[in-house]
Amino acid sequence: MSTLQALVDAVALGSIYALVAVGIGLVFGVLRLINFAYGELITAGAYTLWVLRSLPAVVAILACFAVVVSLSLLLERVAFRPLRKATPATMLIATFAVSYLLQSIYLLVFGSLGNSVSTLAGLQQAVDLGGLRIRWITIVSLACGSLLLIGTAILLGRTSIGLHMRAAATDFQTARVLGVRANRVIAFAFLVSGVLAASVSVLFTVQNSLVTPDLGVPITIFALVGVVVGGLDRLWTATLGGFAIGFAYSLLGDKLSGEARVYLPSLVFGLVIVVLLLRPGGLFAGQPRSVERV
Amino acid sequence: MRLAWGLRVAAVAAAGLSLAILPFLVGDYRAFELGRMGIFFIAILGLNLLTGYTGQVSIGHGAFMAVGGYTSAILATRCGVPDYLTIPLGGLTAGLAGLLFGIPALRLRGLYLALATFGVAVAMPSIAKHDRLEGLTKGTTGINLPELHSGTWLYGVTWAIAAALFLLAFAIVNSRLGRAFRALRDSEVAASSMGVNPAAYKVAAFGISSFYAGVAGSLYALSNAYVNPDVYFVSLSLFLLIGAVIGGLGSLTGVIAGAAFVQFVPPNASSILDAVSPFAVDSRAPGVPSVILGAALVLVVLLAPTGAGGLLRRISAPLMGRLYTRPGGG
Repeated sequence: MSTLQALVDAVALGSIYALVAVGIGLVFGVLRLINFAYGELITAGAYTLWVLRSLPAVVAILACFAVVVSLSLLLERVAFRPLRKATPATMLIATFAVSYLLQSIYLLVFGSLGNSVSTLAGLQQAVDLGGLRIRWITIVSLACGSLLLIGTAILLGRTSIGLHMRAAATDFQTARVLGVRANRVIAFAFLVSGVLAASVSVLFTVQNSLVTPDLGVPITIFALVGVVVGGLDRLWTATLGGFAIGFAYSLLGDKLSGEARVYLPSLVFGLVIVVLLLRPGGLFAGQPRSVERV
Repeated sequence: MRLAWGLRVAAVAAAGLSLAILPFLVGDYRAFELGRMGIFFIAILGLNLLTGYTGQVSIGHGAFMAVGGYTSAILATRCGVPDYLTIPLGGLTAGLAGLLFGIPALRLRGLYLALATFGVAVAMPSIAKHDRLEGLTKGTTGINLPELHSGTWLYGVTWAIAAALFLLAFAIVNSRLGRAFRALRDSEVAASSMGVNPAAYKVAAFGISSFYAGVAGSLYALSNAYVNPDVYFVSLSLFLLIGAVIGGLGSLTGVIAGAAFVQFVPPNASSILDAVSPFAVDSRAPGVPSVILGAALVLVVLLAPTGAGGLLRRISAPLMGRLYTRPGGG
């Protein structure tokens, strides 16, 4: 039974990481920018929930969405738009810098000890399903995760702004020539990825109630690993990669002893290097259409 | 033309002279700090050859520094080699490691490469701590080197090596090799159709840049007089890339600004706030220095996305243009 239990937990964590992967992948698609500050958006949402902990949960969650989405749009406007023509390394460092700055601000304002969030604590209770004890939050994570993923798929596949985003992701220059408005599409990508980050911060803080300034760092790094291993160039493979990494992390975390856990990051990154070297386009990428000669 | 060269030689001579007497003016600890800056200068120079000139982003150069540092420490303690003689060997070992990593890394480009190098940086401390290597690396405790040098010694040795390696980098950049690097960065297809072998040159760039990192890593070990896995932590790799960006990718003289930033801004963030802030803020409260560092980093990247090198080029282009223009020439 406990194996099944672990599987269910792993699926729940996997769906959260899949959301993070989509959030990172959307922005990467249009901007070719890896947003290392993505996790800090999640942390911002978590701290909003903590600050508004005495208000009704609905208000706190709405505020959380408002804060995270505004912060996401603000970062795009203030930090990333001026650097759109900079080299990839410069953009990488810019997102690191923003991430570091936000973490330091959280540290300054909220302290390093961590704050406990109890919004929607009722979801921690478990239900009995034929011998399986499943927490409500696991079910909610799964449901929300699938709904949001389906929502994003509809948005990208069935709306005109989605069409613009896909066009921009395929070839930004050509898309602009054909009348896609660059700023609008990019801002929209940040908006959607902000909504996803806010959802993740609600789901994540209900699962692990402790909020610390560096809450977002491991989430970003692991999701990023998943995204890259899955294949960054297409959103679906990236999502699948994100899901896989959350799933694997949850299972491995259960199985490994405390001693071996120290090696977990090295192990994960060692695997990443191997996967990348064997399949440079990502684990789930299809056959390359044109043969690259190096 | 001749005037410009005369000016250049005079400027270099004056700078060299003042740098040579500097440590005696500022005291031993400052000399140590400046020596540390020289170490970052060397490492960032190497990273710039790879990232700035060849266009391959690495967030893992701290790991190659570690290879150099451990080589030095092991040779100095086990084989009784005088520690300063181990510096070139540290560089060569790291260069070899870089070549070995560069070959499989040919399959990766852009962010995939960045992530793979980041993986090397993350894995490095645990590899050094691993049981199998414990006899060699002494695990978590690390290795103590036989001698702790003075700040002045470090300053002299580091900057002498840095000057030599700077000239080497200058020569590389202005040779066939450097032109091939830049051609690969700008367009791999165009470069290979002009007869540049991408694989060979990319691996060469990795090797050379790791050699620089290894030399810097050896000096780093000598400056501390010990090595342990946490000396070469992940953030070191990150700081090297930060230094390269602040110095300006594709600019060799700018590297000095990047090295200065990496060495001096993080520990002095509080004093910088005191100097620029019009308000009375407790600049040493927990969290404040890191906010300053973060803000400084964001501001620098936003205001000078091409780094110090880019700024320098913008300022010096009109001046130099005038110096080099021949009277009456068109």
